Amino acid sequence: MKTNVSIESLKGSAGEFILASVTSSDSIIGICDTSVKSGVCRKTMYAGSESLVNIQYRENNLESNRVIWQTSSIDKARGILGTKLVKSCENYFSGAAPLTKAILPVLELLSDGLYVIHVGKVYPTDGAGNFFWDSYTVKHEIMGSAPYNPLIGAGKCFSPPFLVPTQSFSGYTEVAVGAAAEKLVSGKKLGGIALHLTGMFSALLEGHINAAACIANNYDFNCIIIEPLNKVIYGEPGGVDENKIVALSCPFVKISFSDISRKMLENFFINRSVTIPRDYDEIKWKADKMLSNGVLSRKVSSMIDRNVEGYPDAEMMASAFAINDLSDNDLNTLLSGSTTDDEGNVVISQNYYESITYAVNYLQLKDKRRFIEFAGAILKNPDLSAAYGYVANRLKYIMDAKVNEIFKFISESEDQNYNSLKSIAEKYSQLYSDYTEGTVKRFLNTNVIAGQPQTSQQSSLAGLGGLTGGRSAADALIDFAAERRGAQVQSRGGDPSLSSLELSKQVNK
Amino acid sequence: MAFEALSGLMLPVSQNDRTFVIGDYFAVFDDDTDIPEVYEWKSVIGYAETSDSFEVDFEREKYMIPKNAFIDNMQIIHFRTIVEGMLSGVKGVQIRIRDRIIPPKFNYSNADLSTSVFTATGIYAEKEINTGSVSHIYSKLKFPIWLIAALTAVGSFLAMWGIGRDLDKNYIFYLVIAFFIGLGTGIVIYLIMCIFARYRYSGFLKRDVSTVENIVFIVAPDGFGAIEQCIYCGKELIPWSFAKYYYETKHSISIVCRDKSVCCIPKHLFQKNEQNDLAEYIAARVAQD
Repeated sequence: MKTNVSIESLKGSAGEFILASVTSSDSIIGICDTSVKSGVCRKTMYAGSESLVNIQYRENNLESNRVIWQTSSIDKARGILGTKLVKSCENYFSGAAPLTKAILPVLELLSDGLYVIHVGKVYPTDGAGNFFWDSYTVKHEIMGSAPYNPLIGAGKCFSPPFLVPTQSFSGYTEVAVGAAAEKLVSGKKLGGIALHLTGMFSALLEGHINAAACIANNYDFNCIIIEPLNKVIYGEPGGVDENKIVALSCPFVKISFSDISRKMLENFFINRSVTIPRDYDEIKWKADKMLSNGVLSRKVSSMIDRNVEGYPDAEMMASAFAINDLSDNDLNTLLSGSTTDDEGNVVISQNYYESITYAVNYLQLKDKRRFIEFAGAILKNPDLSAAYGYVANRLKYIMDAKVNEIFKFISESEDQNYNSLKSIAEKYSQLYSDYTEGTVKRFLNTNVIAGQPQTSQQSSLAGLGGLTGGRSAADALIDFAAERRGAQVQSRGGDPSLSSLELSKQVNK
Repeated sequence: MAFEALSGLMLPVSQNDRTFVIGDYFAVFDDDTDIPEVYEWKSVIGYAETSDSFEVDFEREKYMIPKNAFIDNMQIIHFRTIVEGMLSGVKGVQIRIRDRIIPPKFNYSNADLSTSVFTATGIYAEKEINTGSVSHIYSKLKFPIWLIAALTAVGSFLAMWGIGRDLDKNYIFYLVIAFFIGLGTGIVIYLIMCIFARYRYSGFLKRDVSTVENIVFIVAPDGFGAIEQCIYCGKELIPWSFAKYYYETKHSISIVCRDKSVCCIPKHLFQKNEQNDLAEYIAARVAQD
């Protein structure tokens, strides 16, 4: 029987997404239950008859992190998957097809049910600062993998940011990563396709080399994320529907019943959370095995290792997801040493340093400019010296003229509170000068090679990306100029890097 | 929970203009609205199967699904398997179901069947159920039956003594007659039991749709089970801890569960040499009645 896929485009609080209903499918790709011990659940993500990733946890425990490990490689299922994943990924990221059209062949491979599909930025790490591709060959508990994170709470939506590989690490080659990097530099967009597994983690079905290339060259890595819509939620407490199930949810979105067609709702309710694929016995048998890597001596490039360090971990992401919005007033309140605003509302948390940490994490992910200014303000506030180490360690991964100013100020300061930060500041200054030099050279080379000025899109892709958004070479040049201007102003006694934010006044007071 | 891998069931019920969707949730669509009433199984407070309907009670609402809304027997089995599977482990549910030929699905839990020792499929034959029923009732009423027979014998002896009076002379004669009267009483009660067992079987035929279905019988290290083939997923068993005792007849081995339901395993479905092994395997795990 041919798989039926119906699609609706919707908009949620976190952005636009596609809602897809899959029926009469052959369940080529899916997640099935392969538990062997009572009380311990094991879910296995499979493709064809290959068991790819196992997720193990104690029964009825939504708050505990899951043990996740790879069992095989998706390459072994290429026979049944064909080139559908590769083509879908290429078609979307090259702009040849819109998401609704590009993703259709992949949806036909999934098991029956409702799915939310969206495109989001992901970090190819295990949520603990390790490159994702070689981090799941040993069974261990993965931070941020619990379906319910008390830090984020039940009401917040987020795009799952971390990845679990489905391809064996033997697929990693410097040559392939180099080729993908060349595509990036030439202006092509690269991405991947991922299927959400649990908590903040999705299994990368396609785009492992692209992920490695993006991370090595400090580009953002975007993924088409497919999230099974498999949870129900009750109405707001105290409302008319308090005890009624009124909506469906996945990490990215909550959709009220009234926004879903009856046919799709019927499809949701008739599908069970546990499916038995055609090759269940073989999958279950293979799920007991561990992935044998065979190339353990192989290492990822040093650039990947270095850039991964600057990526946020699961705790940072959770604290960032926990905050809806932070106004300048809120930041001023925190900088003034208080956790409650003038109206008596708690800004983030009653715990002051927790509030500072959350605010730093949130700004680092959502608003780089404000992050730098806020971090700078903290580092210049003697009352917040306990947070210096944390903030400086977050700041050091961002190549920015203003950050350089802050670290220069720390290096030159004789304040004893900065003693522990001096080595970070000096290292940063060295890296920053290498970075600006390299960026300018690369910018000039790119233009010389092309023989003509680049379009704005090309130039933005050609530059090196920072953690909180890709940075173009042009941006770097502008920053470089700003830095020089700043140095001139500073020599006259000004502080251009912080003057734009009101909170710096607070610090100066 | 059990039978979670069984596909959901959509059931339009024209009698009350509703469509029920039974799966991980209990969803009810009124025909004039597209927004369903949805319940989690843990909020069920009562479940009943009567001769002509199923009733599922929630705190807010009670739903009655007539059996004539189902297309066939298979759909009835499918429905009650999902409901009972989802209700297994849910505490505080008032359950009213009639006698079934195989144990209800509340008793099952997820298990590893990869090392199943004995598996067979077949339909129950009347003699297996009858002999099983008789044997079961007899094992329960053995003492009262023979107590009644003995009392009848003593009673008839005393009655004959009272009427005939000449005890010294007819002592042996009275004793023999009293013995046969007692024996006869016991046999009559036993025959009534057989008639009752036959009646019970015909009752199963009328009441329980599983009687005419192919049943999969499994005996494994983790437990045992008798599950209709049409809904068999190969993932559920009744744990051995739930078995109370077993009894064996010429035609079957019956395992009695703690909720008094009986899992009757017909011997003829197994090879001759397997039959002894099966009995020994069960005997090693459950006490014999």
